[in-house]
Order: sequence, then structure tokens, then C-alpha cells
Amino acid sequence: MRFYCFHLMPWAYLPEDFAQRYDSAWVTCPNSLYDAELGHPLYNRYLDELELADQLGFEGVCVNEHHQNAYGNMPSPNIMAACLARRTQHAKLAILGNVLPLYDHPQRVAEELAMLDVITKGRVISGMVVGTGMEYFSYNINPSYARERFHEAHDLIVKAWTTDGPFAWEGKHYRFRYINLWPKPYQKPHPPIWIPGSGSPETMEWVAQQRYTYMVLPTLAPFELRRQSAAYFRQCCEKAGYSARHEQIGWGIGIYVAESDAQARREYEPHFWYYARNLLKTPAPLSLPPGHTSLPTTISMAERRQRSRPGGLSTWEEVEKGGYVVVGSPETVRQRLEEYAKRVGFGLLVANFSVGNVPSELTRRSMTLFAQEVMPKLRHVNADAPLGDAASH
Amino acid sequence: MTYQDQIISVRGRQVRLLRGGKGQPLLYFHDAWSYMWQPIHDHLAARYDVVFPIHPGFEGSTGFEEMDRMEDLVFHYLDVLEALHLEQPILMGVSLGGWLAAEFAVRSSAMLRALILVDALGIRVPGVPATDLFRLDAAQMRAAIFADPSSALAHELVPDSPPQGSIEAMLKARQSFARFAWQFPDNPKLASYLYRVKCPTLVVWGEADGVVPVSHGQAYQMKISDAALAVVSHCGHLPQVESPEPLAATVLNYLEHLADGS
Repeated sequence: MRFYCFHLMPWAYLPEDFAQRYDSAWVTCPNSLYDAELGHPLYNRYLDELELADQLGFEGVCVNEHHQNAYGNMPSPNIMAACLARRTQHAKLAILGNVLPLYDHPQRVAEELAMLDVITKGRVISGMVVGTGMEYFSYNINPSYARERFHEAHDLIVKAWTTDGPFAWEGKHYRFRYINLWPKPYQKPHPPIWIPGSGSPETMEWVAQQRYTYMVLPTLAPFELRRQSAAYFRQCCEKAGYSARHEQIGWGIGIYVAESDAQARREYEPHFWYYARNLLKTPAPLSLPPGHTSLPTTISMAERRQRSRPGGLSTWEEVEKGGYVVVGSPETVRQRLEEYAKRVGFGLLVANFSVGNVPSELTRRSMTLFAQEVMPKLRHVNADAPLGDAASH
Repeated sequence: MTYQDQIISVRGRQVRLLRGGKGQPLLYFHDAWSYMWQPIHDHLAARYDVVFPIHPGFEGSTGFEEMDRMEDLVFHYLDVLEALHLEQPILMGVSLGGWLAAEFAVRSSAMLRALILVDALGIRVPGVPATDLFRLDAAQMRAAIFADPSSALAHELVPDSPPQGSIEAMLKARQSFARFAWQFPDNPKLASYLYRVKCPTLVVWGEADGVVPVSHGQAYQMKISDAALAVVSHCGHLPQVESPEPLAATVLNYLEHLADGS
């Protein structure tokens, strides 16, 4: 197994009564609640945590894109990756991902990732996402075109990375006479592409066909639903004529490690509820705008949402039983993750240590315990054979 | 009243067509919530040949993939009119359908006998933005659309959770609606072209419209040269649903006087 350290960079200072006073942490959440005096140390603390992940031997660090919200303060993930590019030594920079349909110039995404890839000598992983429904409100992008724009932007970016220019692009949503990337990416043919997802079948089918890595997002959902997603992705790969490698499946999950189970829960639980009750607070119309997902998926997601949304969770027992997060002593965390890994078959663990408003010293201790006491014992689990064999036929 | 429910083919698109009554043709453009034959159509069909096509993307009609702008819908309906050999129809539209009727009329009002705009979306009125319908939940949506959000009709058209049999139709309606009406349900340039509407026009508005307030109706009336405005009291965004009798009386009366006068 390989280990990535994920960050949401949440706003940690929402008022105590936020959930009672406001109906959303997104789009309309008043930015009078944002305070740059607090934001300055918060950003730098979060970046320090990702730098620590590099020092602790995580294979990569992950940033992501969300707009106009308290849930994750990275409207430009590429800026965060740029901050990390020269302050990390070994870690891959996984940008999970750029929300492609939001942009009228996808070549900007291609350019920025190529810049980062060259600067870091090929440490960039490019995540590409359709994005949450909320982003379509924030950027006034018609969600009935979300899928079309995603696919066309993806095709344009990959072609810009892999084809010598200048060439013309004439699609439905994008038309450019001159695509001619300076710089081109360091990695050949292009940076690895990961597609984070929350269970849309059409996304999984496409990812399998492209042979990209599918990452089951850490957004709070019970283990069983997420296991089903991974299982469906595996089926899609079989249907596309090959078996998924472990490393083609990423597993996002909230993790917290302390000396004992009781201590871990005591330290973590209040911050978990800050996350679940405040940061995830989204009215359904904002998260499911029309056309953002296909009709069958919209129907099934509406049902899933009702069944799985943490707004419905009220006790820690439910959280534990549903496998929403993995919290405990190093041994408990190792056992749980090993069990999950064996049941799901994932080879990439994408761990989020910074849920809600966990204080920095606790986050750093949890990450350190994980890296020193859990990681070494899980490396052998779901390790793939070297690619050479598979690639030779 | 009996009406036909049939599928016709127009340039490879399947168009579901509801049609009832005899007389001059009255082409009816529906909104995003009530895309079925209702009492209002019975009232109108008592005097007119009511031709009620379902828009592309709504249940029963195809061709949504080719519809990117209101103009595509206008061309679609020019084709439909031609296929049906409708001569000098009265064109009536509600909400989204009213916007479409106005877009149609600025391009080709010469082929219309009259234009009837009911709580039409479509124009931008400074200082009075249309409600962003897509961020509303069912209860908020009922409050925006209906003068009486607690009525059985309101709950039927905008249910808290759609009955199994109509989930897909409702999602399709919502998606097709969003294609044209996402965030700003208007064409910022439409108002400046309304001078091109040269046929007699009746603008009807629900007094309690919480989507596009009466000031939008007044703006339509002011920009169209031969336009009258009638306001329906105790009525929201969908008068054909909430006040079918007063709406029918207003429309039929207007059309009758038009017939007398010409």
C-alpha cells in the first residue's frame, strides 16, 4: 500500500451556533465570518502539516479545489501546490483536482500543471473533477453541461500535454485556434491522472476505460457504500478488458491516531462534529443542481444522500459502526485499515488527518504516530507487482 | 373535454403534442411545472384549436441535446408550426413558455394573430431580479410560485418528494428548464428587441408572483407597442394552475374584442 496525506484546509473558526444560524457552509455562507488575521496562521499551519507529511515519508500530499465555502479554503489548488513545490523534497503533489467545467480556458489548467511538473521534476499528479454541485452556483456554470464540459476540457488538456503544437481545437464548448503549450509537462506522456469521485457510475465507467486511477473520495459516507463504489469500479475495469491494479484504486478516509482508543476518541470527536454538522451543511438543491449528474445517478444519489448524510448522524457509535472515519490507537487503526484494504482492494490510502478544527499539535502527533507505527505495518498490504510484467504484453 | 395526445416527428425530433378544440389555432408554450392538459386548456379549447407541444427534453419529446439557447427552441417551433400548417396562430406562453413566446415573437410576429404572455420569464428588469429557482427546496419553491403554497395543487406540482412514477419526468423538466434558465432566467438583450413585436399582445400577471414580480409584466407591456396588461389577484407565478377561470376569462375576453375590432 502507498500513502498520501490529504488536506481540506477547512475554516476552523465558525461560531458555536453556526448550524442553528446558517443553512449552508457553502455559496451563501456569509464571508463576514472569514477573518484574514486568523486565516494567515491557519493557511501556514496547514501548509506546514503537508510539509511534515513529506518529511514523515508519505508518498504524496493532496490539495483540492472548492469555492466560496468554509469547508475547504483552496479555491486555487494549483496555488497551494505551488506553495508546496519548493518546500517539499520527495512528496508527489496530488491536485485532486482542478474542477475542469468551471473554466472557459482549460489550457490554463494544462499550463499550470505543466509548470508545476517541470519545477518539481515530475512530482505532479493531476486530479480532474466535475466538482460539487455548489461550485456551479458559485461560478454560474450551467450544470446541465457539467459532464460535456468536463470531458471536452479533459480531452483538450491531455492533447495539449501530449501533442506538439500549435494545433487548433474546435469543440462544442471550447474553440481555440492556437493551442501550443509552453512549458510542456516533465512527465511523459503526461502527469498521472487521478479521478476522485463520490460514486457516479458514469464517472467510474469512463475512468476504467481511460485506465486512470479512481479515488473514492473521503467525503463522509459509510464504508459499505464506498466499498460498493470500489467494487463497481473494479467491474468496470473487467468490462474494459483488464483487471484493476491495487494502486488504481484510491481510498480517501479520515484518520486520527492517539496513544489509546479512548484518548483518540476524546481528542477527535468534537472536531468531527464540527466537520459533520457545520462544514458539510449544504441544502440539497445546492449539492444536486439539475444535470450535474445523469438522471439515474441523480435518483440514486438523492436516495443515498438521505441514507448516508452525516446530518442524520447523532452518535459516535453510528460513526464508528458505519466506518465513516478510522480513529483509535495505532494498533486499532492498523487493524481497521488492513481489514478495509482487504475487503476493498485499494492500494492507495489517501488519509485526511485534519478534519474540522482539530488543533495543529494533535494533527501533527496523529500524523507522526501513523507514519511511524501504522504505515510500516501496512506497506505490504495490497502491494502491486512491478508494472514491468503487466506492461510487457 | 377530450384532447388528443400524440407524437409527431419534426426534423427527426419526437414532439409530443396535446391538441383539443376547434377554431383558430392557439399555440400554447408550457412552463417547467405543468406540462400536462389542465382545466385552462379545456376553457381555451371551448373556442380555439389548442395546440400544446411538449418542449424538447420534457417527458415525451426529444431533441434536448440540440437545444443550447432559446433561439434553438424558436427554430424548433418554427419547424413545428410549418409541419402542422398552423396559420396565423394565437401564441400563448406561461413562465418559461412566455419567455419562449416573446423570443418567437420578436423574430416573427407577422405570422401571429396575437401574443399572450403569462408571467413570462425572459427580461431583465434593473433592481428586480428573478428569483434563483434552482437553489430553492420544495417548500421554498412552492412559496415562490404559488399565492397559496399550502394548496393541494401546489403540493402536486412541487411535491416534497416526487411520487415514484413521476420522478424521472420531474428531473427531466428541471434539467431542461436549467438549460435555459440557470441563475438568470432571461436574455439580457430581449427587452431591447421587444419593439419588434407588432401583433396585438396581452400580458397577464399573477399579482403574487414570487418568481418574476408584476414589474416584469409592466416592463413587457411598456416595451411592446400594442400591449395590454391584466393582473390576476390572489395568484402566483402560474395563473393557469392557480386561477384557470379568471385567466381564461381574461384571455377569451381579450381575444373576442380583438376579433370584433378587426
